Amino acid sequence: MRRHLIFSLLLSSLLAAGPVAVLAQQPPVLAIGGAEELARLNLQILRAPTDPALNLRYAALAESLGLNRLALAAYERILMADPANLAAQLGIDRVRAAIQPSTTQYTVEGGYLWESNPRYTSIPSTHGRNQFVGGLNITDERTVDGTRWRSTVDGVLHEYAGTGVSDLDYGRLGGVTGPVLWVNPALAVNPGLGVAGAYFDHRWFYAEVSANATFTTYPGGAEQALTLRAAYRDYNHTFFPGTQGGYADAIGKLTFPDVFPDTAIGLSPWVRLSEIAGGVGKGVFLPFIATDLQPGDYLDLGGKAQILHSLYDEALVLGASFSVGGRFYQSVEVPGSTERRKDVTLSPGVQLIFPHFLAYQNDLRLGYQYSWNHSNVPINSYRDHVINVTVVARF
Amino acid sequence: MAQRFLFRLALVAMLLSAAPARAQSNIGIASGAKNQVEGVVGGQTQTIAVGTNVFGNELVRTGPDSLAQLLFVDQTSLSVAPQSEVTLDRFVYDPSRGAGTVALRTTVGAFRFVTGAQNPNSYQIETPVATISVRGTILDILVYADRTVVIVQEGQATVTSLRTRLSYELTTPGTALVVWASGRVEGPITWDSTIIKVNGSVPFPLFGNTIWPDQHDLFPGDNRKFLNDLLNADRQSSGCSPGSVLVTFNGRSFCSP
Repeated sequence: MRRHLIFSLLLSSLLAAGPVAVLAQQPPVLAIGGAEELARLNLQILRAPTDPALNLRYAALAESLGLNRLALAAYERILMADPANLAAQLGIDRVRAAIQPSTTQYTVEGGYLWESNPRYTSIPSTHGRNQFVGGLNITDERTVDGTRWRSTVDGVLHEYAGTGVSDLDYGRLGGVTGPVLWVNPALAVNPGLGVAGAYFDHRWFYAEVSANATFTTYPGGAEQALTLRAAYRDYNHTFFPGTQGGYADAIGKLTFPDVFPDTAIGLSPWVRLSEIAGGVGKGVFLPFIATDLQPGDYLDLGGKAQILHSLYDEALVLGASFSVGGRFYQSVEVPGSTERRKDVTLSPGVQLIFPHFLAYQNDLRLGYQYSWNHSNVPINSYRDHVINVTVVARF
Repeated sequence: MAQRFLFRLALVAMLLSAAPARAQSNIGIASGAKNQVEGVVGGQTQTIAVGTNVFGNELVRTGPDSLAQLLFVDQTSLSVAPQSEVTLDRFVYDPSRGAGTVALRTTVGAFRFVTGAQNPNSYQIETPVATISVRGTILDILVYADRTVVIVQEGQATVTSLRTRLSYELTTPGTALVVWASGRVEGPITWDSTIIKVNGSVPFPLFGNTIWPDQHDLFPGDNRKFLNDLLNADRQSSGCSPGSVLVTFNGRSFCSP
């Protein structure tokens, strides 16, 4: 049943990557007037700025003359008076797409992290561990043959200092590419195909292919997005569980700007269904194992709320977050019972961000996060404190 | 012939729309106004609504959650974000030659400047720390007390630091130049998609997708609970000696040498 769900999601993501019902991307047909006609219409608009028909005529003529900037201003004007004007919504999306520059954005993050309980054990060691973290994101957006195309590369690296927990060293590099299509005036979809690879425990970990579809809308100008992903992994066969597995997830990204002055709220709900079923059943090969070990076979539900408040003309940003998640293992049993393992994790955190630290678009970030995990398998309950100092550069 | 006609039309329109009580010249209108928008001219403050005339030397300011668009006779438009202030210093336009001068002075806030029908070299915008010579066509300008950020969305601009008098070219759409009060200039840099102000369907800058960058988790790595579970399972199940791992082959598992 769950496998069926994963494949349904995979299919829907792939379908989204195909030729969806994109609305016509052409401006309304209109007799070409010329610059003089445009100037004449502008003078009329000066007398009747809220006349939508007049503004639409002006915008359509400007578009047909290749003067997208003038059309943009006209559509903005209409939408300021009438946010529901469909023709203006279509028009502004069309000219925005025509104007939007091609860009390649690099984001690099590096820093230090101290963690009290990196192994997430119920009885943590008496001293914490240090690790170095690094990350990379490259987002390229450009218009190719009239279609907006987005490609991203993401990488992350966690390297523990010293010995003891270095088997937790982890790295991942992946990329996704696909077109950005407007399915209606208010909704864009970015279907994409992705590949990724990871190492873990000083070994090659897995290779992954994925189908992604991100739905984005901008009500009120702020981005609201939903990403659906279905992925299939081929694990290193020397690793337990050395097998293939798939997962599907949905991640929301809701942004509420200016809830209070200079304050934004972000919400990120998620759900993941993982069917990495590789494992060793109890009593099959290793009879001393009390439980069926399939740690990648679970349903995970949760969400993160974050509030950010800017002070002193964006010289300092204060942040607070709270995430809650529940993981429901499908195969892992509570010792001595047939009950399945369930974990609930609560994680509050605070952040101090110094934007434009040393250079513009460089941030210094200080953070603290506490995690409290309760499991019905007591040995898997844990508490963890994390303090991090990182620098993020965007260029 | 057509140009002469247009010139007369523009002249007539300006004369007709000028408010009799105003000594200043009418240069355009508020083509959009949402919530609290005010104009100060000749020491008098007036509420600006859609269709209100704007004048040379008029200070236009917006309140929180407010927005304005000013439209001029040469088709230039200026979108004004919430909590912004701009003074319309000078506006001269000769439609018969398509030339003139447009000079604005911004003191705080965010603006989108879309050039009209004039010669591209006719536009100049002053901020507390820089002067921007617009060479067409869409610019987003973010004005703070200590810095000005100029983002070119289409066309080009020349930005001059008031402190050093050095000028910098901004020629690639999607890039930004940052001028600090100290005279330090950064860029051109690719704008990082941060939206500074939003009102309705009008974002400042024009393109972006986050209120603050990385507001949501940047990196898509595996959840460490899974990694720890996996590692614990690996160790627990193998019963292998340190350095050895459980290997599954043809459906059977054994410890590696």
